[in-house]
Amino acid sequence: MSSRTPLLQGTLDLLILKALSLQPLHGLGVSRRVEQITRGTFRVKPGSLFPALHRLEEKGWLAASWGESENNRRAKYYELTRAGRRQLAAESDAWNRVAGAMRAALESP
Amino acid sequence: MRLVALARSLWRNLVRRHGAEQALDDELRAYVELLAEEHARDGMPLERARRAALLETGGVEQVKEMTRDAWVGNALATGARELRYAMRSLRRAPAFVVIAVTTLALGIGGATAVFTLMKASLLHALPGVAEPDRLVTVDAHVHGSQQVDEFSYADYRDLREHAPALAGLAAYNGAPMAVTDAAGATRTMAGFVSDNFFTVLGVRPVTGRFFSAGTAAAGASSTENQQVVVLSYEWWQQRFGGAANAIGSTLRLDGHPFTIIGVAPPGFTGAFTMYPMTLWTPAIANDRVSPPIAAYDMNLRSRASRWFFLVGRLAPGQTIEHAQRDLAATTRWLAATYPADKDRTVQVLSGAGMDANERATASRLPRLLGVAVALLLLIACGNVASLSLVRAAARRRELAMRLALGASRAALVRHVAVEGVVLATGAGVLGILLARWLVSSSALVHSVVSIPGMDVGMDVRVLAVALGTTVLTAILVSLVPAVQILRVPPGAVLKEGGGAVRRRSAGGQRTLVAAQVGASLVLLSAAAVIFSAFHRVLTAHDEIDPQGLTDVSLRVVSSIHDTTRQVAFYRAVLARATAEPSIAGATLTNTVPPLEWGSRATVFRRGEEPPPGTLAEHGRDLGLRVDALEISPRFFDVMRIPVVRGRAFTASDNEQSAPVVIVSRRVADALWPGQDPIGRFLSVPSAKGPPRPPLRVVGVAADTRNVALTSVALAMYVPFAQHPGSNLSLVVRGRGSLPVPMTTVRRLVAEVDAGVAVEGGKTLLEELQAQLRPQQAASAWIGAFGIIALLLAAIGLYGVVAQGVLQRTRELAVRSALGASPGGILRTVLGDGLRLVAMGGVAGALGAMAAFRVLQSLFTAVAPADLRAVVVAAAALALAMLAATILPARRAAKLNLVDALRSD
Repeated sequence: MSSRTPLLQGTLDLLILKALSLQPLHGLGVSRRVEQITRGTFRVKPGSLFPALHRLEEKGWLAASWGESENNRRAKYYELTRAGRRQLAAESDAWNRVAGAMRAALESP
Repeated sequence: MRLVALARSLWRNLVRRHGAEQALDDELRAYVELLAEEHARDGMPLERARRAALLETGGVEQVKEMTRDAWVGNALATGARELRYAMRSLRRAPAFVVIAVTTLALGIGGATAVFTLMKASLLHALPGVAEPDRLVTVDAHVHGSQQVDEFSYADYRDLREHAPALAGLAAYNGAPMAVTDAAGATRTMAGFVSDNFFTVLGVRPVTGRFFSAGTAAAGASSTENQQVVVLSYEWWQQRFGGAANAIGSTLRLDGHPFTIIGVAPPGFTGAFTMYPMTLWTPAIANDRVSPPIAAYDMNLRSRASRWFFLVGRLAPGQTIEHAQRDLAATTRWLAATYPADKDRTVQVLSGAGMDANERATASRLPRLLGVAVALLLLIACGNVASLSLVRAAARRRELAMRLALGASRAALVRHVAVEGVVLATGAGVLGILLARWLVSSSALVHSVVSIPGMDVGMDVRVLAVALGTTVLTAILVSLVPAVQILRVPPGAVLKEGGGAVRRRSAGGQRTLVAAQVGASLVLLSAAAVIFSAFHRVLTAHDEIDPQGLTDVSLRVVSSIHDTTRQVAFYRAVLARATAEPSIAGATLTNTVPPLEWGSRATVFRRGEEPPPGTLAEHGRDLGLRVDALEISPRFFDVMRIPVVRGRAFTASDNEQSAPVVIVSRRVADALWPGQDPIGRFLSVPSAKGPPRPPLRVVGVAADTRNVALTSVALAMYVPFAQHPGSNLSLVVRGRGSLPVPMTTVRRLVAEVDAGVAVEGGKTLLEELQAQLRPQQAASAWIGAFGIIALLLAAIGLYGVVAQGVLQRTRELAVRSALGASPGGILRTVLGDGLRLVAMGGVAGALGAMAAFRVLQSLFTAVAPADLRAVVVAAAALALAMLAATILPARRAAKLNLVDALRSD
C-alpha cells in the first residue's frame, strides 16, 4: 500500500471497483488506473492489490478471465460483475455522505 | 448467488488447490513481466528493468502468502499443514511424546476408571434398585443423641400416610432364619418388610409377583390367608435350579409355612448394603406380626416397640427438603401425642442401604476420592509440565532460528499450540480407551473384589474433569517455549549455548519435580496406611483372632424344645468338640462376633431401671443399649478376646448359681466411669414376662469392633446356661490355626444328637472377608490409585531428570575433556537429583501426616505405624531417579568433546 497517503479501511476496495468501472483490467492495469484517477495520490503495491482482488472476486463483485495484454502477454483480467456494480454504487453513496459530512464538520467555524 | 460463489471458491481453494496455486503463480509472473516491459518502454535495459520490477513487487512469495490469506477456507488448509508440521516435529522427539502421552493417558484413564469403580462399589451398592438417586433413608434420633433409632410399626404407618413428598415409604429389617425346603434345611438372612417394599425400591419380579397392597397393612382385609415369601434370584437358582414350579410351593421359616409367590431380579439383595437378604416376607400380615419374628418383642400397637428401618422414594418434583418437612411435622405431632415418642426427631438423608456408621464413612468417601483423583491428575499434569519445560529449553534455538528466518510470531505460537493439541488429543483418546477398558474389564474388577450384580457406566463427570485438566495443561504448557522466545531477540538465543538456556528454566522445572515427588508420596502413604489398617484388622491378635476359626450354627428348632434338655445338648456338644484331636478349643455363642453382635438389650445400673412392665413405654431411651451375647465359658479364650479385669466365665456359672455378666470396657466406662465395675450389678429389664434378677459383673473384656470395623461395639456377655432358649453357634478353633473341616463338626454333633441341623462351616476369616468387601474394595482401589501414582511419578521423574542430564551433555563433555573424572561428573549430577527427591520427600512427609489425620477420622483401625509401603514407594522413586541420572550421565562422560559439541 502506498505510504504517500494512508488509505482508509475499505477505501482500497472502493478504488478497485471504481478503477474497473470503465473496462476490464489486469493487476498492473488496476494499479495504474488507481494512480491515474487519484491523480497520483494512491499507489497500490502488489502485497495489497492481489489479496484485495482475490477477496473481491471471492465475494462475487469481480469476475476474472485470462486474456491477452497489448503486447500479447497472457494476463488475468478482472471485470465488474452486476453485483460489483451495485456494490460500487452503494459504497460511492456511503463515501460521499461521509466525505460531505466530514467537509461540513471541518468547515464549521 | 453468494452461496454459489462461496462454494465455488471453497472448491477451488481446497480441492483444486493445485490449480489455484498455479493460477496465482501465473498471475504474479505476468504482473512482474508487464511491469518490466513498462520499465523497458521507458528506456531501461531489459535486465535492469526485470530486476527493478521484481524489487518493486517486493517478494513474490510474500505477496502470494498474503493473497492466500485472503482466500476463503484458507485457515482449514493452513490447519492441515500445521498439523502435518506438528506431527513431523513431534516425531523428532519420540521419547518426549511417549512419556507425555503415556502419563496423560494413565492419568485420565486411571483416575476415571478407579473413581468410577470405587464409587460404584462403595456408594451405589444397592444392586437391582431403580433410580437409586430418588431413594431416601429416614433416620430417627432420640433428642440430643447421635445414635440412630429404629421405628415402631405404628409410627411407620403414621409417617407413611402423611408424607405427600414421598411416592412411597417402606419399612424393613432382617433376621437370620432356619429355612426348610425341598432341598433340605439351612440358615439364611430373611427380610421382614412392609407390603410396598418392592414398589418403593422400584424392583419388578422376574417371575411370579410381589406382595399385593394390604398384605402387610394392618387392618386391611387380605386375600392371602397364608404367609407369602419372595425369593432372591440367586436363592431361586441355587435351591430350585430356577424352576418355574417353585412358585406356589411351600417352605418353612423357623418352622412356619410360607408360600413362594415370586422371585426378585438378579443381583437384588434388599435394602441393606452390608447385609444381603435371600428372601423377603411381609413383617405384618392380616394384622398380625409374622410368626417367625414374633419373638422380637414386637407389639403392633406399642410406639416403643421399635424394630424397623425406613426407606422412601421421593415423589416427582419433590426434594429431600420437602420430605424432611413432611416427616418432621408428623414426628413433632407424634412426639406431642405419645409419651413413647417424646424427644424423637427424624432426619431424611439421600440414598438408601446404609446405617449411620456406614453412611458417615460413605459421606466422607467422595471427598477422599476427589482428593485422590486430584492428586493423580496433579501428578500427571506436573509430569507433562516439567517435561514440556525441559523440551522448551531444548527448542529455544530451533524457534529462534525460525523467527530469524522470517516466521511470524503468531505462526510460531500457533505452531507450538498445534503440537500441544495433537499431544493432548492423542492422550485423551488413549485415556478414554484405557478408562473404558478398565471399567468394562470385569475380570480385573472381580480379581480385586467381586461385587454381585455390579454393572457400572463410566463416570462422565470425572472423565470430563480429567480430560479437561490434563488437556488444558498440555496445551498451556506447550506454549511456554513460544512465549519465552518472544520475550528475547532471536539473536541473543542463537548466541547462547545450550547450557545457559538450561539454567534459565531450571528453577520452575526443579520445583515441579519436587512437587511431583511430594504428591506421589502423600497418595502412596495414604494407600499404604489403609492397606495396613485392614490387614491388621483381618489378622488382629489384640482383638478377635479369626485365623483358624470355623463357626457352625446349630439349629435345634424342632427337635429340642425343653430348655433343660437344650442346655444339656449344648454342654454335650462342647465336651465332644473339646475332646476332638483336631480342635484346639470350642465355644458356643448366640451370635459370632464380629459378624453379628448379639441381640439388642437395654441395661441400667441396679436401682435405676424403670418400674416393671413400663420398659416398652419409655424405658428404652433411658438405659444403655448394648449387644448381648450368650456364651459358653471358654468364649474369650477361643475368640482371643482378652479379659482385662476380673475373670472369665467358668463351668460353675450355671443355671444353679447367681446370674453373672461380663461387660466390655466401653460399657464399664459408660456405666461406672472411673470406678471398679467388678461386683456391681446390672439390670436388664424385659419388656414382658416376670422381672429378671440383676446380674453381677464379674469381668471386663477388651473392646472389639463391629463388623464394619469402623466402630467399637458396646457388648455384654452372659453365660448361655443362665439364659437358655436361644439357638447357638458352635465356634471351634483348629489346631495350628487350620480350619476344622465341616465333616468333622457334622460328625461330632451327630454323635450327640443326629436330629440337629448343622449349617455354616465357613471359616470366620472367609465370612469376615465377605462382610468386609466394601472396605476391601476401598483399600484395593486406593491401592490401585497408589500404584498408578507411583508409575506416573516414576515415569515423570525419569523423563525430566534424563532430559535434564541430556541437555547438559555438552557441559559434561567439556568438563570431562578438561579432566573431570567420570565418577566426579556422576556425583555432580546425582547430587542434583537427590536434592530434589529429598525436597519432595520432606513436602510429601508433611502432606502424608495431614492425610493420616483424615484417614483416622474415617477408620478407627488406622494407626500411622506401618510405613513399609511408603518406604517402598520412596525407594521406587529414588530408583527411577538414579536410572534417569546414571544412564545419560555415563554416556555424556564417555562422549568425546567434538561429538558432544556437534550434537547440539
